[in-house]
Amino acid sequence: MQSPEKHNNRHELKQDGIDLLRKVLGLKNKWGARLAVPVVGDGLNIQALRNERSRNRDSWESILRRIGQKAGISESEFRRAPQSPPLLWDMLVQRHASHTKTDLNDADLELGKRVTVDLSRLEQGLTVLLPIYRRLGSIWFENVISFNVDRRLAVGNGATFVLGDEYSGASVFYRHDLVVRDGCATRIWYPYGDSKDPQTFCFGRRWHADMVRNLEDYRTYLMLDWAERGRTLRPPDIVYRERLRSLVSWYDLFFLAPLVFIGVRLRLEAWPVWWLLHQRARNFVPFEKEDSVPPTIYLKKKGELCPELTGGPCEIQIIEFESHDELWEAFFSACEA
Amino acid sequence: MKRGFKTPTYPNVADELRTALQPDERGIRASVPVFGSGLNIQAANIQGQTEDDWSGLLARIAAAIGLSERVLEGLPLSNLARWESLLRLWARTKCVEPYKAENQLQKLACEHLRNCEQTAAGWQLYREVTDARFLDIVSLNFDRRIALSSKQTGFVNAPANCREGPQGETLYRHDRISHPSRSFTRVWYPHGDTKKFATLKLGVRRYGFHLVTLEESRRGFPDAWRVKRREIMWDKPRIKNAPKWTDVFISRPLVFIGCGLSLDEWALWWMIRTRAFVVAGDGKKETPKTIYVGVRKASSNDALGHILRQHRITAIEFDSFDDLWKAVRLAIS
Repeated sequence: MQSPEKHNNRHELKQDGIDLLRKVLGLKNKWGARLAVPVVGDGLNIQALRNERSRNRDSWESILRRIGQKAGISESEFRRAPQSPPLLWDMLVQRHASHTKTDLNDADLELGKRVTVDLSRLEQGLTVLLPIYRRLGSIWFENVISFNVDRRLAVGNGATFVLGDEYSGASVFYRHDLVVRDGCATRIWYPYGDSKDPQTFCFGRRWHADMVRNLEDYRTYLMLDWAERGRTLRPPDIVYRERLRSLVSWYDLFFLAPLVFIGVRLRLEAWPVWWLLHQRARNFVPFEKEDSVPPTIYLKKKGELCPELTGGPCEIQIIEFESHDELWEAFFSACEA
Repeated sequence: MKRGFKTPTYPNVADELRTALQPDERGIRASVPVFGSGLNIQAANIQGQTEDDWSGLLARIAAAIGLSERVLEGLPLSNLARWESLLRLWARTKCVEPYKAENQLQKLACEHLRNCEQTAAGWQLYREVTDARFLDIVSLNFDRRIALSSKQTGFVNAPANCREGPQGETLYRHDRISHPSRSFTRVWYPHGDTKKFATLKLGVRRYGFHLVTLEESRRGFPDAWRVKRREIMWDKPRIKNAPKWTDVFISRPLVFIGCGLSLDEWALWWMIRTRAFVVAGDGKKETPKTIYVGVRKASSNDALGHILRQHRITAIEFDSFDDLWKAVRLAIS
């Protein structure tokens, strides 16, 4: 049994975490839009479907399972398959290519198209907006990053899709949904691609090198602006507010915005994400004693095994909750406080 | 000894390992052993000494920069994240830019490893590996202890106008060990080598460059992808056909020995994946075998097993490292 003192310490730590969460989520620009960026993943959809009674209960996993069946992967094989999305996707592509005797690129695109069809069906079948999407959509974040490729959060909140075609480079950096409610706009970004176009999908590791190359390319331009032709970097909060005025990509957010990861797993093999987070942490080194450093917060359920987060890599601050329900409630309460 | 994930076709795992590493009628071994820090640990064990694995090396660096054990214990577990944490701590302590801190740490690591090379010159296990007359060896370690165990070693630099640019030098750099039979062994260093500390691939930035360089090299592109190099690289004369470790890695049977195969080793997994995909994408070619030699874990978590299967890697598992190395030494003797 743990000592009362230890229990109190843990309670205090958690309270500190919640206070930090409130503080970060409470940061707003002069028009009232929140500056922190929630980074959501499959956990959002899982949470949304937990109490859902309608027939639209399809999860990302069940879609992949169905695709796997078509590629000749048995149920027992699927159960033993890697849980990690990039590894699982690679496996599906590989099996589909050998099953259909097609080129791996074609197999990747073909599977992407199938996923698009399934996800579009899910999005269109969303006759009733699930409470969690509605609640998240009602909070005026200036930007939300979704690691999911489905657009349920956006479609349910009446979003307009923005192609961002006028910019050069890989379109996955620019395409986003725009949710406008009562004159308040929120952009929802999809770094792994979006269900509007399977060509934007970049789940598997085959995309990692291309993605890292693009990240490195964009870094050159961002750093030039960040340093403003000088030799030293300017405080990140100032650069963030400047860049927000003409934001064209989710890229800047990873470097400059306060981030709150919720319903996301940061697996070791998600190399581009770690590239971004480590670079972010490096860039903040000169400002560590200042308030201008935007925090990186990760919300997780107590007891969830996340070895990749042990020791707080990239200065990630972890806040733990007893359950996923409590975790989401704390997030929304912090926004609504 | 117990075997890994495939249905047994050999009397036991030691035989399978021996078959995988066996020489041809001329005494040359065409399969490529890929050695990790386990080789150094075992080599030291045989000599009655102790040696660091990769995290041990990081601990030494941490001690060298004055970090307490308590601070070190609190750092991330993943080697990449731990390196990044160390360099940020060093940058703060010395009030320098993180990239400068990284260079300083890299030099420290390199100097430490060079000292280790001197200490370990002539250790038995390295000599056994050298004498096994492999055509190629891939060393995931930075140190050149295998090569330096032979007196007939020469270092081969990257071509002067290496088309992949400075980041691509590690594709070409290798040691060349000549044998009395006039055959030779090349020892490759995908993560860089201690002869030139700037080649060491440590930290997320270099991992990123390395990853992209590997892919661009495979596609046949030079390093013009880098914004800063586009103009100066475009007209640079290119050297073709110099041997690269990637060619060896993709086309030949591989045997991973003493490697942790952590998923945050980007370049390694990128190449393992590329190898599996090249094989999958070309049904006509005979598949070069890939074997992972490891120790059976007590835990029921078979995450690595799934990943190995997915990449068509056959696992050969032993009950202990002693059993493993006994079998390896027997197989290459």
